[in-house]
Amino acid sequence: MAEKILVCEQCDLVHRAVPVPAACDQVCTRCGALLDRGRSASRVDPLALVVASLILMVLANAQPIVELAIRGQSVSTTLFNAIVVLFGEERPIVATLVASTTLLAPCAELLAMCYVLLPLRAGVVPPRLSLVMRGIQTVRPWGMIEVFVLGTVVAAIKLAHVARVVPGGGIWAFAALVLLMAATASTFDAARVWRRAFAIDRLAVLRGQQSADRAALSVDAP
Amino acid sequence: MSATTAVPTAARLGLAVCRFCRQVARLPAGRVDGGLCPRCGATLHVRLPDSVARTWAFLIAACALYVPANLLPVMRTSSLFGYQRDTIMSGIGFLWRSGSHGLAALVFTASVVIPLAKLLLLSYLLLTVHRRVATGARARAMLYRLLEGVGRWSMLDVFVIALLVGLLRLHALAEVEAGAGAAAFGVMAVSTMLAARSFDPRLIWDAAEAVDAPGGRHG
Repeated sequence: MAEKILVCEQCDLVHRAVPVPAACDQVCTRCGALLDRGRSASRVDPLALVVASLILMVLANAQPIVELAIRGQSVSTTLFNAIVVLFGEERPIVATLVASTTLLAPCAELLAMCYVLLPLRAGVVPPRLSLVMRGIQTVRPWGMIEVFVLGTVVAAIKLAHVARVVPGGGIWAFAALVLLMAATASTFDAARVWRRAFAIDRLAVLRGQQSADRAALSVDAP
Repeated sequence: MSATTAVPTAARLGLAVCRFCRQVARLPAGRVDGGLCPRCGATLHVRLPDSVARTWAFLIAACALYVPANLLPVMRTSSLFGYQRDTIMSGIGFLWRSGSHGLAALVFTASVVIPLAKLLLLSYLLLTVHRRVATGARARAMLYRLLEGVGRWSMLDVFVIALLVGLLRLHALAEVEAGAGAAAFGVMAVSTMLAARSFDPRLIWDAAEAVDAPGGRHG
């Protein structure tokens, strides 16, 4: 008798789920908030995208972001160097903000997705799965690489008034990373992850949570 | 369902939606939070706890930081021609005067318009919740979504400064350093983002329906 129910997270309206094509987004009828995202017909492997993103992340940090020709010399910097400089000249707050939003948060998100997807692929529920899944949701909004890319463009144009500026490999890699991480986030299907984890070993999932006996009753089967 | 005209909200039906995994669960009878999501183990809440108080707290912190963020210099440069201190506004002025009108407008939007809009409009949303304004709920819901989506872009200038300082300082090309205003600005931007995250948009609709949903307004 349990028909699928969707609750809007932004206006609390309860919806009865109706069959829709899988590729359609479902939105709240009252306030327009997204209820459930559509899945595209071609199932891209999220793990492949995660690994690709990680590789790109390494590439983006290994190469200089911009190259500057000034006073006869050619200089450049990587993101990491810029952060180190900020720490070095006693601007720890700014350095921490930049490091957190361009390195720590995106890497944490990617590594957490790996941590979840790899073991499940092998048929094992990773320990503390619930904590890591919640961690992914928490950390995701704090990755701001796209803002960083735009900031680099603005800085480069400011510098272009006094020197010749050439975009380094790093900036292209970061720009590609923005797109790739967006694709990864939309391909990562949390509901599917949960279904697989519960199918493999329900007890292991529950054991990894705080206290299963306080659990509320689910309205439909997880 | 009884023949009332009441809109079926989760709060009315004793349901809660998990804020992490969107699982819908029936709460233990009579409770409004404390139950755990059966799928991901997160604590379930009908409304975000202390949403109004937390949002005000972050907003006030952001307001307090707004002044030093704009008055203190974000970048200091020394050259043969003297010592120059740039604030957010003077940086925008520099861009405008050098002909990059589009960029100046962009940085102005990101560094001045967006933070100010977040401070003013989030305050407005909170006030409408306090006064239980019933009309225009959908517009306010869309306003909230806009504020939440656009907030990250106010960090733009922090990255501009980080790159300029990182690049020029590393190679001793110019005596340049990030000023205290940069830190104030960055923390202010983060504070507005936290304020938007702690605001529970369901409170907008509670006011419109004159439902006294527990949790949201207390504290």
